[in-house]
Amino acid sequence: MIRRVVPIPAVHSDHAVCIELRRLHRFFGATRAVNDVSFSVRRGHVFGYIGPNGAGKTTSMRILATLDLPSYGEAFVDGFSVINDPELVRHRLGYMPDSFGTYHDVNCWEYLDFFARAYGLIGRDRIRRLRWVLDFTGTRGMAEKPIRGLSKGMKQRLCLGRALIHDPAVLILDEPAAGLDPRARIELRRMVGELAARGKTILVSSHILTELAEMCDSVGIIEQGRLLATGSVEEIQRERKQHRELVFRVLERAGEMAEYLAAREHCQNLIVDGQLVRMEFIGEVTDQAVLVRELITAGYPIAEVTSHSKSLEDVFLQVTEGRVQ
Amino acid sequence: MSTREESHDRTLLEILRGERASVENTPAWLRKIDDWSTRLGDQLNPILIKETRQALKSRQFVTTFSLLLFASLAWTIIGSLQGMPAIYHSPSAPRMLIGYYLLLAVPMLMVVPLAAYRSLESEVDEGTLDLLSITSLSPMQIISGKLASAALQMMLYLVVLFPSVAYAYTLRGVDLPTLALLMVMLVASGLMLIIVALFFAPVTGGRTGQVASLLAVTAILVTSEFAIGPVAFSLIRSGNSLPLSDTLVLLMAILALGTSFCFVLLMSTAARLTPEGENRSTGIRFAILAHMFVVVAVCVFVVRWFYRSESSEQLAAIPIALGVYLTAFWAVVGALVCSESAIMTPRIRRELPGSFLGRLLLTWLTPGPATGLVFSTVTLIGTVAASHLLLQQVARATGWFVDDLGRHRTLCILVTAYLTIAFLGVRLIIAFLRARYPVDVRVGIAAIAVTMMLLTVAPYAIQSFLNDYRTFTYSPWQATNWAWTLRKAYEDDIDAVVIYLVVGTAAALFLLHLLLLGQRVLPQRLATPQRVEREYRRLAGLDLEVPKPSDPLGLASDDPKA
Repeated sequence: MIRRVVPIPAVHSDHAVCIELRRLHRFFGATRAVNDVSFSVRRGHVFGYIGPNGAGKTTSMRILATLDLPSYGEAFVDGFSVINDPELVRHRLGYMPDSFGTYHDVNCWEYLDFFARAYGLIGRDRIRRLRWVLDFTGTRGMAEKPIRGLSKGMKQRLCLGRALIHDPAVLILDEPAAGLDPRARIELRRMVGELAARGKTILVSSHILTELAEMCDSVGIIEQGRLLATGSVEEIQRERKQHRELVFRVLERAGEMAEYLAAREHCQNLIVDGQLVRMEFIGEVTDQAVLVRELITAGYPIAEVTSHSKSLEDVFLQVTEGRVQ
Repeated sequence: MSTREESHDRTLLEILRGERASVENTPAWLRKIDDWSTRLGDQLNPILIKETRQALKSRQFVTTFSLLLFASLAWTIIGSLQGMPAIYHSPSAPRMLIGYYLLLAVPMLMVVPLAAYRSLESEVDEGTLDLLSITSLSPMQIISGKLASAALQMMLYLVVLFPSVAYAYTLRGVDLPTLALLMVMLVASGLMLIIVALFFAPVTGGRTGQVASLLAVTAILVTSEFAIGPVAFSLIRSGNSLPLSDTLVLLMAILALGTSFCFVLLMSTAARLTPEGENRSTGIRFAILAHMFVVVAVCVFVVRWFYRSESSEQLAAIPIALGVYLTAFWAVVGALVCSESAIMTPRIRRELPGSFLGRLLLTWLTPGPATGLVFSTVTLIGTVAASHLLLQQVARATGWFVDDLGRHRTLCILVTAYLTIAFLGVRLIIAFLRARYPVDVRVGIAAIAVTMMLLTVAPYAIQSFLNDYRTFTYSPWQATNWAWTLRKAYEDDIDAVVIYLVVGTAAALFLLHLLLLGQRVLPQRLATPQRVEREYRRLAGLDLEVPKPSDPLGLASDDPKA
């Protein structure tokens, strides 16, 4: 059984945009799993794909991974079409599905060795690459252990190692943090950050929005197959006229200050709670600074100002409506 | 460079240093063996390596291997003791060999094929096939790796019993060629059954489908076990009565037929594992053409080889069997080919034949139901005509069957015409359904069944109704009723009008189909973008200027965000 797999050198992207979806549609009968989704991810960036279950995240990721065909539209990885040039895409792509995809009766080394061979890595290069992956994912101590006995976190690391074994330029990670304990999540975040720092372009989906907010350069929010918003969290907040919550502690005349604020633009939903005046502020940080200066000039004895923008979770909840197909 | 990156680089340096130190301490001859083994391993199919590692550690293999070992030992002792004292003076090999055959047939014809089936089925079921699909391995490499691993297991089982078989041979009563023939038969049957089992593994999805396909595979394996057993027993007991040259010809003929059929199955299995956007059809059509060529060639050769005198009249059974086989084969294959998706991705269109001659000869091998219909019809006509010509030759040489040649020709023409009409029916039904729902090629089997049933039932029901449900005799109004018409043709009691009607209709519909779908039948080849061509050249190792050096540690890369 002689194989004809040509050993392929790892390819590092020479394209500024590594992932691009153009008007992507995928229909399953009457269900529109992916409906006119377009976005792009630049080289070395981490893109978070957020959406409720059944939103179309996995379907679009599978299309990008050349495992499914779109009903309409195009998707490109490193400038190559996933429809017309799937082989070229596959050499550049590491895919980690939401299921582990492991084998019985093999240990971690054998598992990674098999995929390294399947990607055409040969000789000492393969051994070195295997060792590097085991070291990077922190599974070196587990090399001889059977996969069956690994914890979920270790299996997840191993699967990330498998996706990295051929040194791809683009990584697609479908729910990599699902079911992981906090330490494993922090480790995953570290690994993703490190890979992005090395120039890998990463598309990652997750339900744990706080994780995504910390590791992603930009996010896309998808619901019912439609991409509702895309960009950095701040950009989406700005686009959506996201409110910033401001809380003032005023030593006296809190009611009067509330009336003063109510007359100003950018301020709404004022609540007076003893010495505290809470409100929602629509505007830039510079507008906020102007407002504070005006209040102090107006002679209100402000002891404390607290401001916090809404989290990715708040953005997600505002953008989506919780509909399921 | 961050602290974390530095630590990784340090680790890699440690790995390299450690590796160098261990290499320096190893004797040169061991290093050579190690390098040679690594190079050899790199040339092997990764699936073979993985499957063998898995199989040798699996409980199933260990249990079967141990049981076989102990059972063969037990039969050697028990069989020998039972044969005492005759074992010293009379031939006792057949009795012992039958026992060994029974022991060996279970793992080789049942356990190994079922394990191969389970292995591929679990790849589909557990999602690992998706992971394999995006590696450099082709679907055919995946299948051949599974086949090779199963064959290796078979060889291990064979090796276990080899000393026992050798022992049986020393007891006299079975000659070496018979023993070799038995082993070839067992191994070839085992390999074919593995291919059949692999074919069934990805055929159905869902729990119900899996259970159904497992039952089908088990039924086939059990039936084969019972079919091959008596042949093996008779071979062991009576030996091979044919001369060596005849035996070899017969063996080669059976192997050629089996191999070409298994090739069709392998190509079909690989097509099931091939992603949707790629060309899944051309390989199967080539395999079908090859199979048809082998079938006809083998039949011709066997008839010519075994024809000795005018008394070799039983050879006429070969072309008749060939005709029956072709009808059944094309009813299934034609339905599947005519149900292919009409969508041609630009990727497939890039590979279409470009020259005039290429377009003329090879367009019928490109995917799509329209080309599929032409391919099926033309190949069917060619092979059925070949089977009739072969029968004609036999009849002329032996004088047997001469009176029935006309009847056979009529049957051949009618069967071909009816199948052509059925293919057109399948094409229409599938096109209608596909406009509304996603349709798999397997629906083609149901479509041909519906078409054939309608062709029979509709005229019969209409004439019954018009005749107030009284019995009526055959008339040209029943021309589409293929069951009745073929029966009449078999009884040589059919009007020429009916034959002209059926053949004329089939030919007219076929030509109309060609005219209506001319544009679709001849899709235009698309040019491959230069960047893609360059990249493929690079992958093939032909263009050495383009690749960037691998940089797994990212040491050379600048921060892209900077």
